[in-house]
Amino acid sequence: METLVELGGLVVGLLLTLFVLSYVIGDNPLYRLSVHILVGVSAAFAAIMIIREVFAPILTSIRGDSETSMGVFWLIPLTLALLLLLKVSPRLAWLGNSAMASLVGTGAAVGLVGAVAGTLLPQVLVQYENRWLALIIALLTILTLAYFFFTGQVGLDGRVVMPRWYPVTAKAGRIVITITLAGLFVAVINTSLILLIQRIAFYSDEIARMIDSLAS
Amino acid sequence: MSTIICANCNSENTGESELCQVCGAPIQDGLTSKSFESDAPYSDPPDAGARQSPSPNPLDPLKKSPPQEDVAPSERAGSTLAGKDDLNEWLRELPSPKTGELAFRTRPLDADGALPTWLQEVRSKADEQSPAGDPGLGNWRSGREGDDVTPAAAGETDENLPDWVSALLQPEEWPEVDDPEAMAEWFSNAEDDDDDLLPQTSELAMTTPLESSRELNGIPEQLVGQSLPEWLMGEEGEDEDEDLANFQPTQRIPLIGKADDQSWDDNSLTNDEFISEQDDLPEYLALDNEALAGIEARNLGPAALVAAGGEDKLFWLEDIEDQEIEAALDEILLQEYPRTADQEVEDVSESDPPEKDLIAEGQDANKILAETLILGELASRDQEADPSLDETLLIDEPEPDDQEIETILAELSTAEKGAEEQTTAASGDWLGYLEDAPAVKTADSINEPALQSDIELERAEIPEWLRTMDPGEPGLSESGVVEESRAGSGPLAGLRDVIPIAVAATGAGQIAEPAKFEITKEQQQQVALLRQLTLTSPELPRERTITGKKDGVAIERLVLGLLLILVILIGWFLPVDRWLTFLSEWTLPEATESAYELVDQLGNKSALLAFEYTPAMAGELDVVADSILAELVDNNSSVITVSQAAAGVAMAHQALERSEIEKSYDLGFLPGDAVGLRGLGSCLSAGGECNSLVGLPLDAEAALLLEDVSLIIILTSDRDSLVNWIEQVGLQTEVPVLAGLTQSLSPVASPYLASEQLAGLIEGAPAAAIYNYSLDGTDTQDAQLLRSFTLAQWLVIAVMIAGGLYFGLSQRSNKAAQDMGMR
Repeated sequence: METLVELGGLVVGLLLTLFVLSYVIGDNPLYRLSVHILVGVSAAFAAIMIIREVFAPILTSIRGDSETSMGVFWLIPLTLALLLLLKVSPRLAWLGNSAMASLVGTGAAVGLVGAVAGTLLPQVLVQYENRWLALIIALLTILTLAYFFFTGQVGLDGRVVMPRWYPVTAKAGRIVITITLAGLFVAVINTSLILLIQRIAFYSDEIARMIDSLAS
Repeated sequence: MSTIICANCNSENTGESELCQVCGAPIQDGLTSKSFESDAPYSDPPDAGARQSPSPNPLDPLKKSPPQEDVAPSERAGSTLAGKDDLNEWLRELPSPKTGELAFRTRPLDADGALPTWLQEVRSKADEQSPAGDPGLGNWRSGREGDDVTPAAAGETDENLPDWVSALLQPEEWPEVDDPEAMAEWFSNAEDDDDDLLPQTSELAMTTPLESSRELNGIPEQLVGQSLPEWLMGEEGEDEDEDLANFQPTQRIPLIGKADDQSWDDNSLTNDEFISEQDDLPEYLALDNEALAGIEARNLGPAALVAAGGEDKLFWLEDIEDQEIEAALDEILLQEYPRTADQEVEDVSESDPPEKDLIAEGQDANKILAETLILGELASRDQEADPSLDETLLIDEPEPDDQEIETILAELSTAEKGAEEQTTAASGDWLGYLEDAPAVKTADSINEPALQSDIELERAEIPEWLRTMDPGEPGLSESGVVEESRAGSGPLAGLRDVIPIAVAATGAGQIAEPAKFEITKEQQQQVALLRQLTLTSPELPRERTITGKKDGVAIERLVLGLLLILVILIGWFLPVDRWLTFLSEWTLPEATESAYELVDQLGNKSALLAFEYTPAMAGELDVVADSILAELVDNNSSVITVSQAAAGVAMAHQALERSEIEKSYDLGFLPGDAVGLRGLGSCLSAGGECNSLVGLPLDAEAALLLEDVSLIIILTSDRDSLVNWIEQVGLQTEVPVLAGLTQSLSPVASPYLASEQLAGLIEGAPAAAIYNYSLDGTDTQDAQLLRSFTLAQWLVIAVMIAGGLYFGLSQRSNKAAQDMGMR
């Protein structure tokens, strides 16, 4: 029985994997079906996880702290959460704006502090052992930032005239960005190859094991 | 029967006659005296009998209707001896000319004998001309003093007159007025004698507004009898007394029909006395020499002098501009033919003070127009007029009254009136009257050189370049004469001023020929392109081409997919590394080695593992998680798992189950992204005082494990998750942070590795497999994974190169095919 369940699970998993791989010949219903199943299961799993890992502990906490004032403290975040649920209704969506504002504002503030202190300053103050490498990195960084210089002056004929330094630096920055994106693309291909190899290895091993178990 | 010689015309009259039978001048007691009409500055003329006869000359514009009780000549001459009050008194004493009474009584001199300056100068000049201590003059003067009657009235004879006066009254110098030839001869002789004193006759011509009269000649004859406009009527008679003094008395305009130089010269001789005394005249009466010189420079013709005429100097016309006359004519036209031009009339009345002065002289506008019209008509008809008319007009005696003027006007205008009025009346168009203007103008231009000179002067002001642009007016000759043109044929036959067909057709003939059609280079290229598209384009349905491409691409993708799967299977199942040794030359990255060293150095302390990946990335990160957990198990380390991804919690559970770790604690799901991580970081840095995490209470075991955390390992495939962990957690604590990432995220983590914010980095499954393979060196799944991965990479490289070559060659072949098609 356990083998049949495992075999059923293995077959379903294999079919879904093939459905996804069918995208190699183009968009098709099988691919969409597999994607929809993946998204649906993932969302359902996330919802269950949130209920289980977030709301249940809060309710447990409120129930456990009913004798104290801590339970009242949770009314504020719960109220804000309920207001966010009203965003589903267009007529009552405005009620969730305040909760959304507090959520976005808090996240942005925290994220800004973290970005400045955790990324910008450390990256500026980093000291490379190889000075030439540091110089090249700085130069490439400047070129990349210069590419996004979109400020120009409007000429007499109404056309926007960019600074004289812009065409050269922008072209160099575009080259740097292209190389960076190429590296990221290669990394993505490597990840994809690993994932494919793992799937193939998984199913090959499972199929071999199933054959062995059936043979035995 | 005694005869009395007329002092004016020197003709004999019967003794009973009160008026001269020839000239109509009054005869006083048989005394004859040459008129001193022209010698107006003399306020005390010796002969007053001649002055009592107001000139009934209809052409005299200075006079209104000829009053029987006219003002004294001295008063009209602007004498300062007679004031306005005196004038009134004088007028009361003025007898009727028909009664033969005294014409006027001169005002006696003041007791102190004070005279105006000009009069004193005249007298002093007269004294100089006369012999010093001339008894006659003295007697005459003495006789005059204390007596207010004129010498004539007092019965003085020529013997009592001064010599210079007597010289002027020599009877033998006066020809018979009945004989025109003698009169003309006398005038000629007198002119020769007085050439030095006389100004040039052409200069005199400028004393009359002949130009204005010429303009007036253009008035339709129907308008002659029109009454004055209101603005003129208002001015009439208001300042009569004052303005009369500014004009010469008894001016007469000779009715000369023949406007040639000789006729004018003859007539101008009647002014010799007046002209001879120009230097003695007061400033307001004397002609300005400079003005005369300027007038002479204008080279006015004798016709103008004719209008100036003899002894009558039309000074009032000097100040009248042509435009003013035209305005007056317009006013009259408007009254006769009303139209919306009242404003123009007002403008004329406001801007023409000279005309006001003119009317203020008490002149009748009708008479003025009639006189000027007569001049024009006579001038225009000089060729046709009866020579006897000239003679009659030259005689100028007896001077006609108003009735006679009207008669003359009627006679002169009858000829043209007939036809023109019929035409005008028939058409009903008042503009028909204006059609006469060109004809009159033509006559003026022919008979009056002054007019021609004026036209020439005006034309000379036009620049040459502008004159060259003048296309010419149809029907107008070069001299400005309008040539009447009538259509001789066609539907417009008989009509005047018809534009010739040749003129109209000339415009069409002048249309420029269109430029030759030229085919530009761009047009040639467009034609070539259109030909290529129509002749060489394949007639393949577009949809079929797309479908074929889709099929080809799908096949290519399928082939590549199958080839990749085949390579992976070959690498997984076949020990290809035995034959292909380069497939087994794997090296452990430095960052990965550092990461595993930290894991090994952890000992029995706690490690916080963050499972921030989903099952989609489990194929790569599970390998990393398993490898790390295996090391932790070997080190007997405790593991605390946490995840901000819902699926990460499950991944953590599966990883813990596979690793068979003994000491582990699952914090579960940590909500809030960066905010939750900041809370976790605060808890880690609290040093064991953290009792709650994101509002949820922590149990004692979790608090102890968090206090013992010595290594943070981040297993993620998401960039934000990696950054948040580094920025929020790694920034708040000094605990080293490791990152087990997918290969796709490894470039993002490299800067943090360089800044030592990451103590170690495990770049995906290959790095973990290499680490594992380096530990035991057996042909495990890690080795299979590496072989397959390496083969797949080589395949990808080969496919990319082959694909690039195929694409390049296909593009080249397509281009070559296109070039062939173009050719």
